Amino acid sequence: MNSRPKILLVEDEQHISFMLQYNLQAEGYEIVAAMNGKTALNLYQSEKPFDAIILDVNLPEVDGFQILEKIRLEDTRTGILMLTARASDQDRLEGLTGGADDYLIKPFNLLELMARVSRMIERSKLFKEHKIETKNVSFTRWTLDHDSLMLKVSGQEETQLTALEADLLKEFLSNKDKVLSREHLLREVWGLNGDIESRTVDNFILRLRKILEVDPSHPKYLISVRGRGYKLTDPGEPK
Amino acid sequence: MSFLRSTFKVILHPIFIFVTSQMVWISIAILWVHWFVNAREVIEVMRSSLPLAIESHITITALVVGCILLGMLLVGSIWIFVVSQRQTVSLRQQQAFVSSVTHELRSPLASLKLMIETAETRRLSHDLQAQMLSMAKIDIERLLRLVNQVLLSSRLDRGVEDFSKTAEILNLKTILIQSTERAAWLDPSIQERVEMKCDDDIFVHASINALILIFGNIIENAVKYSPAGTPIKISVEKNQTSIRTTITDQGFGIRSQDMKRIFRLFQRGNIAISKALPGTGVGLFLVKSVTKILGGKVEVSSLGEGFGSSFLVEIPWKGPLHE
Repeated sequence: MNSRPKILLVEDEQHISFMLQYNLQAEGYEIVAAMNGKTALNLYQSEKPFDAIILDVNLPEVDGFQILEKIRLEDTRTGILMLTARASDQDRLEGLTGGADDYLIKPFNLLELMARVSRMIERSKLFKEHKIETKNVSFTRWTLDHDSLMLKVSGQEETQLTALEADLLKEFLSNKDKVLSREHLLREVWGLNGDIESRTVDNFILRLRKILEVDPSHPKYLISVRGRGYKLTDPGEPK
Repeated sequence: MSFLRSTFKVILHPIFIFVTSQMVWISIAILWVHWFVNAREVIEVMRSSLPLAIESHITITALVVGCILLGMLLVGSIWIFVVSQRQTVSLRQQQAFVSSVTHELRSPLASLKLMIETAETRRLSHDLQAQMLSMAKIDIERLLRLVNQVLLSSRLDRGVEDFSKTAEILNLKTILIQSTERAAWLDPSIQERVEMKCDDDIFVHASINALILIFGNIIENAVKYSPAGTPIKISVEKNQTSIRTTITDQGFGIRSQDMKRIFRLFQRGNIAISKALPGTGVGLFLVKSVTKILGGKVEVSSLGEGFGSSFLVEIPWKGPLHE
Protein backbone atom coordinates (compact mmCIF):
# COMPACT_ATOMS: atom_id res chain seq x y z
CA MET A 1 0.00 0.00 0.00
CA ASN A 2 1.32 3.41 -0.97
CA SER A 3 1.66 5.63 2.08
CA ARG A 4 3.30 8.58 0.34
CA PRO A 5 1.19 11.78 0.47
CA LYS A 6 -0.39 12.40 -2.91
CA ILE A 7 -0.42 15.85 -4.51
CA LEU A 8 -2.33 17.00 -7.58
CA LEU A 9 -0.10 19.50 -9.38
CA VAL A 10 -1.93 21.66 -11.91
CA GLU A 11 0.57 23.82 -13.80
CA ASP A 12 0.67 24.58 -17.52
CA GLU A 13 4.21 25.99 -17.59
CA GLN A 14 6.25 22.92 -18.53
CA HIS A 15 9.50 23.95 -16.86
CA ILE A 16 7.87 24.98 -13.59
CA SER A 17 5.82 21.77 -13.56
CA PHE A 18 8.92 19.65 -14.22
CA MET A 19 10.99 21.33 -11.48
CA LEU A 20 8.14 21.19 -8.96
CA GLN A 21 7.58 17.50 -9.68
CA TYR A 22 11.29 16.84 -9.19
CA ASN A 23 11.44 18.73 -5.87
CA LEU A 24 8.19 17.35 -4.47
CA GLN A 25 9.11 13.78 -5.43
CA ALA A 26 12.50 14.30 -3.78
CA GLU A 27 10.62 15.22 -0.59
CA GLY A 28 8.74 11.92 -0.77
CA TYR A 29 5.45 13.00 -2.29
CA GLU A 30 3.57 11.18 -5.02
CA ILE A 31 2.70 13.61 -7.81
CA VAL A 32 -0.20 13.52 -10.24
CA ALA A 33 0.43 16.30 -12.76
CA ALA A 34 -2.00 18.06 -15.10
CA MET A 35 -1.09 20.66 -17.73
CA ASN A 36 -4.59 22.06 -18.33
CA GLY A 37 -7.84 22.59 -16.44
CA LYS A 38 -9.87 19.87 -18.10
CA THR A 39 -7.26 17.19 -17.44
CA ALA A 40 -6.94 18.46 -13.86
CA LEU A 41 -10.66 17.94 -13.18
CA ASN A 42 -10.60 14.49 -14.80
CA LEU A 43 -7.52 13.47 -12.80
CA TYR A 44 -9.07 14.85 -9.61
CA GLN A 45 -12.11 12.61 -10.10
CA SER A 46 -10.20 9.50 -11.16
CA GLU A 47 -7.29 9.72 -8.69
CA LYS A 48 -8.86 11.23 -5.55
CA PRO A 49 -8.39 11.48 -2.62
CA PHE A 50 -5.42 13.85 -2.63
CA ASP A 51 -3.54 15.15 0.39
CA ALA A 52 -2.96 18.55 -1.24
CA ILE A 53 -3.53 20.38 -4.50
CA ILE A 54 -1.18 22.93 -6.07
CA LEU A 55 -3.20 24.94 -8.54
CA ASP A 56 -2.17 27.52 -11.14
CA VAL A 57 -4.80 30.10 -12.19
CA ASN A 58 -4.06 30.85 -15.85
CA LEU A 59 -4.76 27.49 -17.41
CA PRO A 60 -5.98 26.44 -20.83
CA GLU A 61 -9.63 25.37 -21.14
CA VAL A 62 -10.75 25.68 -17.48
CA ASP A 63 -9.05 28.27 -15.26
CA GLY A 64 -7.80 27.67 -11.74
CA PHE A 65 -10.62 29.61 -10.04
CA GLN A 66 -13.21 27.42 -11.78
CA ILE A 67 -11.35 24.26 -10.75
CA LEU A 68 -11.19 25.55 -7.16
CA GLU A 69 -14.94 26.18 -7.14
CA LYS A 70 -15.73 22.72 -8.54
CA ILE A 71 -13.46 20.91 -6.08
CA ARG A 72 -14.73 22.89 -3.08
CA LEU A 73 -18.34 21.90 -3.90
CA GLU A 74 -17.52 18.32 -2.92
CA ASP A 75 -14.32 18.54 -0.87
CA THR A 76 -13.59 21.08 1.86
CA ARG A 77 -10.79 19.16 3.55
CA THR A 78 -8.04 18.86 0.99
CA GLY A 79 -5.64 21.76 1.24
CA ILE A 80 -5.42 23.84 -1.94
CA LEU A 81 -2.50 26.18 -2.64
CA MET A 82 -2.89 28.62 -5.53
CA LEU A 83 0.45 29.14 -7.29
CA THR A 84 0.14 31.90 -9.84
CA ALA A 85 1.71 34.88 -11.57
CA ARG A 86 -1.47 36.87 -10.92
CA ALA A 87 -0.34 39.18 -8.17
CA SER A 88 -3.20 41.68 -7.76
CA ASP A 89 -5.08 41.95 -4.47
CA GLN A 90 -8.30 41.22 -6.35
CA ASP A 91 -6.96 37.90 -7.66
CA ARG A 92 -5.58 36.94 -4.26
CA LEU A 93 -8.94 37.73 -2.68
CA GLU A 94 -10.80 35.75 -5.36
CA GLY A 95 -8.61 32.73 -4.67
CA LEU A 96 -8.80 32.88 -0.91
CA THR A 97 -12.50 33.71 -0.70
CA GLY A 98 -13.13 30.97 -3.26
CA GLY A 99 -11.85 28.36 -0.82
CA ALA A 100 -8.09 28.17 -1.36
CA ASP A 101 -6.02 27.64 1.78
CA ASP A 102 -3.01 29.51 0.53
CA TYR A 103 -1.94 31.82 -2.29
CA LEU A 104 1.64 32.09 -3.47
CA ILE A 105 2.84 34.40 -6.23
CA LYS A 106 5.42 33.51 -8.90
CA PRO A 107 8.37 33.80 -8.71
CA PHE A 108 8.31 32.10 -5.32
CA ASN A 109 10.82 30.75 -2.84
CA LEU A 110 11.19 26.98 -3.16
CA LEU A 111 11.70 26.36 0.56
CA GLU A 112 8.68 28.51 1.42
CA LEU A 113 6.53 26.54 -1.01
CA MET A 114 7.76 23.26 0.49
CA ALA A 115 6.97 24.50 4.02
CA ARG A 116 3.46 25.54 3.03
CA VAL A 117 2.73 22.29 1.20
CA SER A 118 4.09 20.25 4.09
CA ARG A 119 1.85 22.09 6.56
CA MET A 120 -1.24 21.58 4.37
CA ILE A 121 -0.51 17.87 4.10
CA GLU A 122 0.01 17.54 7.86
CA ARG A 123 -3.39 19.13 8.45
CA SER A 124 -5.04 16.86 5.90
CA LYS A 125 -3.38 13.82 7.52
CA LEU A 126 -4.54 14.82 10.99
CA PHE A 127 -8.12 15.06 9.76
CA LYS A 128 -7.91 11.66 8.08
CA GLU A 129 -6.53 10.01 11.21
CA HIS A 130 -8.97 11.93 13.46
CA LYS A 131 -6.05 13.15 15.54
CA ILE A 132 -7.50 16.64 15.67
CA GLU A 133 -9.63 17.22 18.71
CA THR A 134 -13.15 16.64 17.51
CA LYS A 135 -14.91 18.09 20.53
CA ASN A 136 -17.37 20.84 19.68
CA VAL A 137 -16.30 24.34 20.61
CA SER A 138 -18.98 26.95 21.34
CA PHE A 139 -18.95 30.71 21.66
CA THR A 140 -21.97 33.04 21.81
CA ARG A 141 -24.16 32.05 18.83
CA TRP A 142 -21.76 29.59 17.23
CA THR A 143 -20.78 25.98 17.70
CA LEU A 144 -17.90 24.62 15.67
CA ASP A 145 -17.95 20.90 14.98
CA HIS A 146 -14.35 20.34 14.08
CA ASP A 147 -15.01 16.79 12.96
CA SER A 148 -17.53 17.60 10.25
CA LEU A 149 -16.16 21.16 9.72
CA MET A 150 -19.70 22.48 10.27
CA LEU A 151 -20.34 25.80 11.98
CA LYS A 152 -23.72 25.85 13.66
CA VAL A 153 -25.22 29.28 14.22
CA SER A 154 -28.23 29.43 16.54
CA GLY A 155 -31.39 30.10 14.58
CA GLN A 156 -29.62 29.78 11.23
CA GLU A 157 -28.56 27.09 8.80
CA GLU A 158 -25.24 25.32 9.29
CA THR A 159 -22.24 26.56 7.33
CA GLN A 160 -19.69 24.21 5.83
CA LEU A 161 -16.13 25.45 6.48
CA THR A 162 -12.90 24.46 4.80
CA ALA A 163 -10.25 22.76 6.95
CA LEU A 164 -8.18 25.94 7.20
CA GLU A 165 -11.18 28.13 8.02
CA ALA A 166 -12.06 25.69 10.81
CA ASP A 167 -8.48 25.75 12.12
CA LEU A 168 -8.38 29.54 12.10
CA LEU A 169 -11.75 29.84 13.85
CA LYS A 170 -10.69 27.24 16.39
CA GLU A 171 -7.58 29.28 17.17
CA PHE A 172 -9.78 32.32 17.86
CA LEU A 173 -12.28 30.25 19.86
CA SER A 174 -9.44 28.90 21.99
CA ASN A 175 -8.19 32.45 22.63
CA LYS A 176 -11.42 34.37 23.20
CA ASP A 177 -10.98 38.08 23.89
CA LYS A 178 -7.23 37.82 23.30
CA VAL A 179 -5.53 39.82 20.55
CA LEU A 180 -3.84 37.42 18.12
CA SER A 181 -1.16 38.89 15.90
CA ARG A 182 -0.78 37.94 12.24
CA GLU A 183 2.55 36.33 13.08
CA HIS A 184 0.89 34.22 15.80
CA LEU A 185 -1.84 33.09 13.39
CA LEU A 186 0.65 32.28 10.63
CA ARG A 187 2.72 30.24 13.07
CA GLU A 188 -0.14 28.42 14.79
CA VAL A 189 -2.58 27.92 11.92
CA TRP A 190 -0.41 27.90 8.81
CA GLY A 191 2.71 26.56 10.51
CA LEU A 192 4.80 29.21 8.81
CA ASN A 193 7.44 31.67 9.83
CA GLY A 194 5.51 34.84 10.70
CA ASP A 195 7.56 37.24 8.59
CA ILE A 196 6.71 35.52 5.30
CA GLU A 197 3.31 36.77 4.33
CA SER A 198 0.65 38.57 6.30
CA ARG A 199 -1.90 39.42 3.61
CA THR A 200 -2.96 35.77 3.51
CA VAL A 201 -4.15 36.16 7.11
CA ASP A 202 -6.04 39.37 6.28
CA ASN A 203 -7.81 37.65 3.40
CA PHE A 204 -8.82 34.73 5.61
CA ILE A 205 -10.14 37.15 8.26
CA LEU A 206 -12.36 38.67 5.54
CA ARG A 207 -13.55 35.16 4.71
CA LEU A 208 -14.40 34.39 8.34
CA ARG A 209 -16.16 37.73 8.77
CA LYS A 210 -18.40 36.90 5.82
CA ILE A 211 -19.43 33.76 7.71
CA LEU A 212 -19.65 35.17 11.26
CA GLU A 213 -20.77 38.77 10.96
CA VAL A 214 -24.20 40.18 10.13
CA ASP A 215 -22.47 43.11 8.41
CA PRO A 216 -18.92 41.99 7.45
CA SER A 217 -17.90 45.56 6.58
CA HIS A 218 -18.65 46.63 10.18
CA PRO A 219 -17.47 43.62 12.21
CA LYS A 220 -18.61 43.30 15.83
CA TYR A 221 -17.23 39.89 16.78
CA LEU A 222 -14.01 39.42 14.83
CA ILE A 223 -12.50 42.86 15.24
CA SER A 224 -9.20 44.43 14.13
CA VAL A 225 -6.93 45.82 16.83
CA ARG A 226 -4.86 48.52 15.13
CA GLY A 227 -1.19 47.63 14.89
CA ARG A 228 -1.60 44.42 16.87
CA GLY A 229 -3.85 41.93 15.09
CA TYR A 230 -7.34 40.51 15.49
CA LYS A 231 -9.60 39.58 18.41
CA LEU A 232 -12.73 37.44 18.72
CA THR A 233 -15.01 39.03 21.24
CA ASP A 234 -18.64 39.05 22.33
CA PRO A 235 -20.11 42.55 22.20
CA GLY A 236 -23.30 41.30 23.85
CA GLU A 237 -26.36 39.67 22.43
CA PRO A 238 -27.56 41.40 19.26
CA LYS A 239 -30.87 43.20 19.67
CA MET B 1 -30.01 52.66 -3.58
CA SER B 2 -28.43 51.02 -6.62
CA PHE B 3 -30.57 53.29 -8.87
CA LEU B 4 -29.18 56.37 -7.09
CA ARG B 5 -25.65 55.02 -7.37
CA SER B 6 -25.99 54.35 -11.10
CA THR B 7 -27.59 57.79 -11.62
CA PHE B 8 -24.66 59.46 -9.83
CA LYS B 9 -22.25 57.43 -11.91
CA VAL B 10 -23.88 58.69 -15.12
CA ILE B 11 -24.00 62.32 -13.88
CA LEU B 12 -20.34 62.29 -12.86
CA HIS B 13 -19.15 60.67 -16.11
CA PRO B 14 -16.77 63.03 -18.01
CA ILE B 15 -18.72 62.68 -21.27
CA PHE B 16 -22.01 63.63 -19.55
CA ILE B 17 -20.37 66.63 -17.85
CA PHE B 18 -18.79 67.72 -21.13
CA VAL B 19 -22.01 67.45 -23.19
CA THR B 20 -24.02 69.22 -20.47
CA SER B 21 -21.52 72.08 -20.17
CA GLN B 22 -21.50 72.53 -23.95
CA MET B 23 -25.30 72.63 -23.98
CA VAL B 24 -25.20 75.31 -21.26
CA TRP B 25 -22.71 77.39 -23.28
CA ILE B 26 -24.72 77.10 -26.48
CA SER B 27 -28.00 77.89 -24.66
CA ILE B 28 -26.45 81.02 -23.12
CA ALA B 29 -25.22 82.14 -26.53
CA ILE B 30 -28.63 81.51 -28.17
CA LEU B 31 -30.44 83.37 -25.34
CA TRP B 32 -27.98 86.23 -25.61
CA VAL B 33 -28.44 86.57 -29.39
CA HIS B 34 -32.21 86.23 -28.97
CA TRP B 35 -32.20 88.97 -26.33
CA PHE B 36 -30.00 91.20 -28.50
CA VAL B 37 -32.28 90.86 -31.55
CA ASN B 38 -35.46 91.49 -29.53
CA ALA B 39 -33.94 94.39 -27.57
CA ARG B 40 -32.56 96.08 -30.62
CA GLU B 41 -35.55 98.44 -30.96
CA VAL B 42 -35.22 99.41 -27.28
CA ILE B 43 -31.51 100.04 -27.77
CA GLU B 44 -32.31 102.20 -30.79
CA VAL B 45 -34.77 104.27 -28.69
CA MET B 46 -32.22 104.56 -25.87
CA ARG B 47 -29.54 105.56 -28.33
CA SER B 48 -31.65 108.34 -29.80
CA SER B 49 -32.70 109.64 -26.38
CA LEU B 50 -29.23 109.56 -24.81
CA PRO B 51 -27.05 112.66 -25.06
CA LEU B 52 -24.00 110.45 -25.84
CA ALA B 53 -24.49 108.75 -29.15
CA ILE B 54 -24.05 104.97 -29.37
CA GLU B 55 -22.92 103.96 -32.80
CA SER B 56 -24.95 101.06 -34.22
CA HIS B 57 -21.82 99.44 -35.78
CA ILE B 58 -20.36 99.11 -32.26
CA THR B 59 -23.28 96.91 -31.14
CA ILE B 60 -23.06 94.76 -34.29
CA THR B 61 -19.28 94.38 -33.78
CA ALA B 62 -19.87 93.38 -30.16
CA LEU B 63 -22.31 90.68 -31.33
CA VAL B 64 -19.92 89.31 -33.95
CA VAL B 65 -16.88 89.40 -31.65
CA GLY B 66 -18.92 87.79 -28.84
CA CYS B 67 -20.02 84.97 -31.14
CA ILE B 68 -16.43 84.43 -32.35
CA LEU B 69 -15.13 84.32 -28.77
CA LEU B 70 -17.85 81.88 -27.75
CA GLY B 71 -17.04 79.76 -30.80
CA MET B 72 -13.35 79.78 -29.81
CA LEU B 73 -14.27 78.74 -26.29
CA LEU B 74 -16.37 75.91 -27.70
CA VAL B 75 -13.58 74.67 -29.99
CA GLY B 76 -11.01 75.03 -27.20
CA SER B 77 -13.04 73.09 -24.69
CA ILE B 78 -13.75 70.33 -27.26
CA TRP B 79 -10.02 70.12 -27.98
CA ILE B 80 -9.15 69.89 -24.27
CA PHE B 81 -11.78 67.17 -23.87
CA VAL B 82 -10.46 65.14 -26.82
CA VAL B 83 -6.87 65.42 -25.55
CA SER B 84 -7.86 64.40 -22.01
CA GLN B 85 -9.82 61.42 -23.36
CA ARG B 86 -6.79 60.36 -25.41
CA GLN B 87 -4.63 60.61 -22.30
CA THR B 88 -7.13 58.54 -20.33
CA VAL B 89 -7.11 55.83 -23.03
CA SER B 90 -3.30 55.96 -23.16
CA LEU B 91 -3.08 55.61 -19.37
CA ARG B 92 -5.43 52.60 -19.45
CA GLN B 93 -3.30 51.06 -22.22
CA GLN B 94 -0.16 51.58 -20.16
CA GLN B 95 -1.76 50.01 -17.10
CA ALA B 96 -2.97 47.03 -19.17
CA PHE B 97 0.50 46.73 -20.70
CA VAL B 98 2.31 46.83 -17.34
CA SER B 99 -0.09 44.26 -15.92
CA SER B 100 0.22 41.84 -18.86
CA VAL B 101 4.00 42.23 -19.34
CA THR B 102 4.58 41.77 -15.60
CA HIS B 103 2.57 38.57 -15.78
CA GLU B 104 4.49 37.34 -18.83
CA LEU B 105 7.79 38.08 -17.09
CA ARG B 106 6.88 36.25 -13.90
CA SER B 107 6.55 32.73 -15.35
CA PRO B 108 10.01 32.39 -16.97
CA LEU B 109 11.53 34.18 -13.97
CA ALA B 110 9.79 31.74 -11.60
CA SER B 111 11.12 28.85 -13.66
CA LEU B 112 14.71 30.21 -13.58
CA LYS B 113 14.52 30.92 -9.84
CA LEU B 114 13.19 27.43 -9.21
CA MET B 115 16.07 25.88 -11.14
CA ILE B 116 18.71 27.94 -9.32
CA GLU B 117 17.22 27.16 -5.89
CA THR B 118 16.98 23.47 -6.81
CA ALA B 119 20.64 23.46 -7.87
CA GLU B 120 21.55 25.15 -4.60
CA THR B 121 19.66 22.73 -2.37
CA ARG B 122 19.97 19.34 -4.09
CA ARG B 123 22.65 17.10 -5.52
CA LEU B 124 21.78 16.81 -9.17
CA SER B 125 22.85 14.21 -11.71
CA HIS B 126 24.76 15.37 -14.81
CA ASP B 127 21.80 14.50 -17.03
CA LEU B 128 19.45 16.60 -14.93
CA GLN B 129 21.93 19.48 -14.85
CA ALA B 130 22.12 19.39 -18.66
CA GLN B 131 18.34 19.29 -18.94
CA MET B 132 17.99 22.22 -16.55
CA LEU B 133 20.53 24.27 -18.51
CA SER B 134 18.60 23.61 -21.68
CA MET B 135 15.34 24.69 -20.00
CA ALA B 136 17.02 27.79 -18.53
CA LYS B 137 18.23 28.73 -22.02
CA ILE B 138 14.67 28.48 -23.38
CA ASP B 139 13.37 30.64 -20.50
CA ILE B 140 16.03 33.28 -21.12
CA GLU B 141 15.21 33.28 -24.85
CA ARG B 142 11.56 33.74 -23.96
CA LEU B 143 12.40 36.71 -21.73
CA LEU B 144 14.65 38.18 -24.43
CA ARG B 145 11.93 37.78 -27.04
CA LEU B 146 9.46 39.60 -24.81
CA VAL B 147 11.88 42.47 -24.12
CA ASN B 148 12.79 42.72 -27.81
CA GLN B 149 9.12 42.78 -28.85
CA VAL B 150 8.36 45.58 -26.42
CA LEU B 151 11.38 47.60 -27.62
CA LEU B 152 10.50 46.95 -31.27
CA SER B 153 6.88 48.02 -30.70
CA SER B 154 8.19 51.30 -29.31
CA ARG B 155 10.45 51.85 -32.37
CA LEU B 156 7.62 50.98 -34.76
CA ASP B 157 5.24 53.27 -32.88
CA ARG B 158 7.75 56.11 -33.39
CA GLY B 159 8.30 55.08 -37.03
CA VAL B 160 12.08 54.64 -36.66
CA GLU B 161 12.41 50.93 -37.57
CA ASP B 162 13.80 50.15 -41.02
CA PHE B 163 13.79 46.56 -42.34
CA SER B 164 14.89 47.45 -45.89
CA LYS B 165 18.62 47.43 -44.98
CA THR B 166 18.50 43.73 -44.08
CA ALA B 167 16.30 42.62 -46.99
CA GLU B 168 17.44 39.53 -48.94
CA ILE B 169 15.94 36.85 -51.16
CA LEU B 170 14.39 34.19 -48.98
CA ASN B 171 12.59 30.90 -49.47
CA LEU B 172 9.13 31.32 -47.95
CA LYS B 173 8.68 27.67 -46.98
CA THR B 174 11.95 27.77 -44.98
CA ILE B 175 10.78 30.94 -43.25
CA LEU B 176 7.44 29.32 -42.35
CA ILE B 177 9.22 26.25 -40.94
CA GLN B 178 11.51 28.50 -38.86
CA SER B 179 8.49 30.50 -37.66
CA THR B 180 6.80 27.27 -36.61
CA GLU B 181 9.91 26.15 -34.71
CA ARG B 182 9.82 29.48 -32.85
CA ALA B 183 6.53 28.40 -31.26
CA ALA B 184 7.96 25.10 -29.99
CA TRP B 185 8.44 26.53 -26.49
CA LEU B 186 4.64 26.73 -26.24
CA ASP B 187 4.01 23.27 -27.62
CA PRO B 188 6.86 20.81 -28.30
CA SER B 189 4.55 18.83 -30.62
CA ILE B 190 3.89 21.89 -32.81
CA GLN B 191 5.42 20.25 -35.92
CA GLU B 192 2.82 17.48 -35.73
CA ARG B 193 -0.03 20.00 -35.52
CA VAL B 194 0.97 22.15 -38.47
CA GLU B 195 -0.41 21.21 -41.90
CA MET B 196 1.56 23.24 -44.44
CA LYS B 197 0.75 23.73 -48.12
CA CYS B 198 3.52 25.79 -49.66
CA ASP B 199 5.43 25.23 -52.91
CA ASP B 200 9.21 24.88 -52.52
CA ASP B 201 9.93 27.53 -55.16
CA ILE B 202 8.30 30.60 -53.65
CA PHE B 203 10.84 33.32 -52.87
CA VAL B 204 10.37 36.75 -51.31
CA HIS B 205 12.61 39.78 -51.02
CA ALA B 206 12.44 40.90 -47.42
CA SER B 207 14.19 40.94 -44.05
CA ILE B 208 14.27 37.50 -42.41
CA ASN B 209 13.61 39.09 -39.00
CA ALA B 210 10.54 40.86 -40.34
CA LEU B 211 9.05 37.70 -41.87
CA ILE B 212 9.74 35.48 -38.86
CA LEU B 213 8.27 38.16 -36.63
CA ILE B 214 5.07 38.25 -38.72
CA PHE B 215 4.52 34.51 -39.15
CA GLY B 216 6.04 33.54 -35.78
CA ASN B 217 3.65 35.77 -33.87
CA ILE B 218 0.58 34.50 -35.74
CA ILE B 219 1.61 30.84 -35.28
CA GLU B 220 2.37 31.45 -31.57
CA ASN B 221 -1.09 32.95 -31.16
CA ALA B 222 -2.63 29.96 -32.93
CA VAL B 223 -0.92 27.67 -30.40
CA LYS B 224 -1.75 29.85 -27.38
CA TYR B 225 -5.41 30.31 -28.24
CA SER B 226 -6.26 26.75 -29.41
CA PRO B 227 -6.90 23.52 -27.52
CA ALA B 228 -3.83 21.28 -27.43
CA GLY B 229 -3.50 18.94 -30.40
CA THR B 230 -5.87 20.79 -32.74
CA PRO B 231 -4.50 21.35 -36.26
CA ILE B 232 -3.01 24.63 -37.47
CA LYS B 233 -3.24 25.02 -41.24
CA ILE B 234 -0.80 27.14 -43.24
CA SER B 235 -1.43 27.64 -46.94
CA VAL B 236 0.38 29.84 -49.45
CA GLU B 237 -0.91 31.12 -52.80
CA LYS B 238 1.08 33.17 -55.26
CA ASN B 239 -0.39 35.34 -58.01
CA GLN B 240 1.09 37.94 -60.39
CA THR B 241 1.43 40.66 -57.77
CA SER B 242 1.37 39.14 -54.31
CA ILE B 243 1.96 36.17 -52.04
CA ARG B 244 -0.95 35.34 -49.76
CA THR B 245 -0.25 33.25 -46.66
CA THR B 246 -3.22 32.05 -44.61
CA ILE B 247 -2.82 30.65 -41.10
CA THR B 248 -5.96 29.02 -39.72
CA ASP B 249 -6.54 27.54 -36.28
CA GLN B 250 -9.43 25.79 -34.53
CA GLY B 251 -9.12 27.86 -31.38
CA PHE B 252 -11.28 30.12 -29.25
CA GLY B 253 -11.97 32.53 -32.14
CA ILE B 254 -12.33 36.31 -32.15
CA ARG B 255 -15.50 38.33 -31.60
CA SER B 256 -16.46 40.64 -34.48
CA GLN B 257 -16.10 43.74 -32.28
CA ASP B 258 -12.47 42.78 -31.53
CA MET B 259 -11.32 42.32 -35.15
CA LYS B 260 -9.77 45.81 -35.42
CA ARG B 261 -8.89 46.22 -31.76
CA ILE B 262 -6.51 43.25 -31.58
CA PHE B 263 -4.09 44.96 -33.99
CA ARG B 264 -3.74 48.02 -31.76
CA LEU B 265 -0.82 48.34 -29.36
CA PHE B 266 -1.47 46.78 -25.90
CA GLN B 267 -5.01 45.79 -26.89
CA ARG B 268 -6.26 42.22 -26.56
CA GLY B 269 -9.45 40.42 -27.57
CA ASN B 270 -12.20 39.95 -25.01
CA ILE B 271 -12.04 36.15 -25.24
CA ALA B 272 -8.31 36.15 -24.42
CA ILE B 273 -8.91 38.50 -21.48
CA SER B 274 -11.94 36.63 -20.10
CA LYS B 275 -10.14 33.27 -20.34
CA ALA B 276 -7.09 34.82 -18.63
CA LEU B 277 -4.87 33.59 -21.45
CA PRO B 278 -1.27 34.82 -21.46
CA GLY B 279 -0.32 37.66 -23.79
CA THR B 280 0.83 41.27 -23.86
CA GLY B 281 -1.16 42.91 -26.66
CA VAL B 282 2.06 43.59 -28.58
CA GLY B 283 2.35 40.68 -31.06
CA LEU B 284 -0.41 41.53 -33.51
CA PHE B 285 0.51 45.22 -33.43
CA LEU B 286 3.98 44.16 -34.60
CA VAL B 287 2.48 41.86 -37.26
CA LYS B 288 0.38 44.67 -38.71
CA SER B 289 3.11 47.34 -38.50
CA VAL B 290 5.83 45.16 -40.05
CA THR B 291 3.53 43.86 -42.82
CA LYS B 292 2.69 47.47 -43.65
CA ILE B 293 6.41 48.36 -43.81
CA LEU B 294 6.87 45.48 -46.30
CA GLY B 295 4.09 47.02 -48.41
CA GLY B 296 1.56 44.33 -47.55
CA LYS B 297 -1.50 43.94 -45.39
CA VAL B 298 -2.92 41.56 -42.80
CA GLU B 299 -6.57 40.58 -42.38
CA VAL B 300 -8.33 38.45 -39.80
CA SER B 301 -11.57 36.51 -40.02
CA SER B 302 -13.44 34.40 -37.47
CA LEU B 303 -16.93 33.01 -37.23
CA GLY B 304 -16.92 33.96 -33.55
CA GLU B 305 -16.23 32.43 -30.18
CA GLY B 306 -15.28 28.77 -30.40
CA PHE B 307 -14.96 28.70 -34.19
CA GLY B 308 -11.26 29.43 -34.62
CA SER B 309 -9.67 32.23 -36.56
CA SER B 310 -7.84 32.79 -39.80
CA PHE B 311 -5.09 35.35 -40.51
CA LEU B 312 -4.28 36.31 -44.08
CA VAL B 313 -0.90 37.98 -44.70
CA GLU B 314 -0.50 39.46 -48.17
CA ILE B 315 2.93 40.70 -49.19
CA PRO B 316 3.83 42.07 -52.61
CA TRP B 317 5.65 39.82 -55.09
CA LYS B 318 7.97 41.75 -57.33
CA GLY B 319 8.40 39.22 -60.10
CA PRO B 320 10.77 36.39 -61.01
CA LEU B 321 13.80 38.75 -61.17
CA HIS B 322 14.25 38.33 -57.47
CA GLU B 323 14.33 34.56 -57.62
